[in-house]
Amino acid sequence: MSQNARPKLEKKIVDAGYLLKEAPRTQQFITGAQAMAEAVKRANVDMAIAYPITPQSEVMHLVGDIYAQGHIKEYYRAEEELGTMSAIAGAARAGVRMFTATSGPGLLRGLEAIASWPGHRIPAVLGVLTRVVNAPLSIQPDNIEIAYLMHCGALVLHAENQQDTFDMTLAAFAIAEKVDVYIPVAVATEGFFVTHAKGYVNTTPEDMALTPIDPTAAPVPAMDNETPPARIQRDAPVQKSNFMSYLIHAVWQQEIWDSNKRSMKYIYEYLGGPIEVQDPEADVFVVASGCAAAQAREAHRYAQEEGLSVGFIKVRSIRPFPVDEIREAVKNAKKLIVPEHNIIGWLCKEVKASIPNSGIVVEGPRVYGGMTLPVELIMAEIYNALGIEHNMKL
Amino acid sequence: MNGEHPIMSANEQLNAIKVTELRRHQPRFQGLASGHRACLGCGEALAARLVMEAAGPDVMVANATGCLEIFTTPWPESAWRVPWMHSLFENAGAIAAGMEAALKAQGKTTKVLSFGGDGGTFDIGFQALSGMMERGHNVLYVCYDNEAYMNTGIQRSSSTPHAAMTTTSPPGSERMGKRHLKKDIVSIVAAHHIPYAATSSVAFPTDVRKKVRRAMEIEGPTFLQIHSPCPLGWGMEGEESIAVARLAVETGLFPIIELERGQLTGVLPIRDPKPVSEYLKAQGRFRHLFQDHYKAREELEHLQALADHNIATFDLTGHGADNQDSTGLNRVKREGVRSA
Repeated sequence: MSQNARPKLEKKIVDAGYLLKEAPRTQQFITGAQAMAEAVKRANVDMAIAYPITPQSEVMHLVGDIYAQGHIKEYYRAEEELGTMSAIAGAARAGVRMFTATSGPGLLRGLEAIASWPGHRIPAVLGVLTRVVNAPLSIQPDNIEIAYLMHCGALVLHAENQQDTFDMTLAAFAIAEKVDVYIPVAVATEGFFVTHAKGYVNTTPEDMALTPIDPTAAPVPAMDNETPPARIQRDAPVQKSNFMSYLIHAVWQQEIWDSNKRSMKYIYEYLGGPIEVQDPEADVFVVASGCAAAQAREAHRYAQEEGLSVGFIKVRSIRPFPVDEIREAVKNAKKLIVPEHNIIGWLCKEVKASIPNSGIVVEGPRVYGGMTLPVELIMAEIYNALGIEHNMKL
Repeated sequence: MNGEHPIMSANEQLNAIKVTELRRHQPRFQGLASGHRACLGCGEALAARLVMEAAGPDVMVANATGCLEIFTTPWPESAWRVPWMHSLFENAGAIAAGMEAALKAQGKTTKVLSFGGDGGTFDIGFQALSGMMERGHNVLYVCYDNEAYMNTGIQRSSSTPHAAMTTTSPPGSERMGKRHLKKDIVSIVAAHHIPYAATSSVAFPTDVRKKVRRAMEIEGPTFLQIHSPCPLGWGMEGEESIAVARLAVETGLFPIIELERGQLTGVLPIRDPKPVSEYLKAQGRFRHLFQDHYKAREELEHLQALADHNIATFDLTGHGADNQDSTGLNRVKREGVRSA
């Protein structure tokens, strides 16, 4: 790195394994947005680009503060979301560790560029603070946007709460830059319910940072006029209009999705696996991700108090989707209940596609954008599944 | 050389020395190698080669979707001899901005170039271009202006000249091609008060090189619009490209100007302004203007008025023979004088 490089605060450099699993932690009571920004502060990020889409979360303001304090070398506000996502691609190809966050309409606005990130081998981390995208707009959450995001080739992690948001964001940087992965990682969580609400978060020390990016340790090395391998950059672009290009597109995208799958071992290493299972012997399981998992966890607690045979599965990783893990976990289950913070039920479709007996899946409960997901809704489905008479005033 | 030259006069010898001297200083670096798949007579390919030669090896390129991107990088080949990246149609300005910021953060001094066609610059990529310039990124943006979406099949862009035929502005008994005017992109860009914005034409390679070198020396956003004929889209033979591009300048329809911080600071004077019909007749896209119809005659008058307006506005009328005017520039062999 040149002597003219922008200075960053001196920190103790540690590897991802130590930072996530062994580093001392102190408890803070912070919002989900703060949790994401605190992770960015510790992730040795070089550069961040912001766009204030409505309804934006505070994340990129907080990252701006981090820049002002010297934790990040470069930070600017782009002209729009597509500009942000594009500039991230340009910057990451030029060899720096990148972060941005967006929400709802902003994600869809930037999706054209995001869909091209994996093919460009961009190991950037994208915070997705989900919001309603369909008219009439609401500023509250609804995670339909993840349905669009999960077919882009990027990893998609879904955080249940503020602690998850911190850990997943930090892990995302480590996973994205693994040589056998090297594709972007999106860390999604529900806007408002998580981003604007406070929770307890055990954070690592502020003066301890992740190992810096090595732009040469990559399947497609960063563009650089000084180091020979990437002097002539001809790998990332995939062109069209001849049979070779169709072949190479297929090969290239196959490699992207293989990279996506190969990340699973790192999800086990840094996040304890793609799913969390409670009561593995139960007859009925509540399967949920993100904020719905928090409600499902509560429903599981109610059910336990009532002595019902109910288990709980939290899905941490939407891409790669834990097909084998879920199939194994529910192989003896009689019913699966999939509560979701969206009305289309993308998680439900994924779960159904993962098991041979999709008839056992109860489609819902689901709530429209802006609505909360009361535990009672999940309980009603649990009672139905177990054939228990109930009379809840919902 | 020593003493009398057997053929050249003293004056000719002086010029010859100058040319040799200039050649020696001329960068011979080929950033865009030959063997790519541009059509015969492609103005954009030549313009890009000139830009890369003048810009030199220490550059990175962010290329918008378009002919240039397609014909230079058919997998698994690449004509580029510098780091080069293509992402999408509308984001060359944004990609370049990100690259430049990342290089700056790493303390690297590589200059970032951003290339787009007129569709990728005037229309779909305009926001990215504007944002990049507004934030003052150290990027030279080059627009290869062939006045329509040639890569996608000759659709009208906001750069297409008035009355031109494209696949989405067809002439017919009721219409005379494009109804609207060509967008004045260089003025719009210059209104960002960037250090340097200029137009040039591939018919004047010396002018192209000079402007690229000028822009390369400036720390900050710079913009160059190069008029680059497309034989296919304009309806002419490839061998006519340069002659037709030259006519666009000589008629006043494509004024060659320089703007610094928004102020006009230089023009390429026209020695003998030609009637616009000379330029228009050479191209199939204006064929409908030469039918015996009052609308056609009206549009011809309209286009002549536009050219006259350009000549008056930018004071393009030359003041006698000059090496640096539209006739003098780049006429090495025919008139024995070359300036660079």
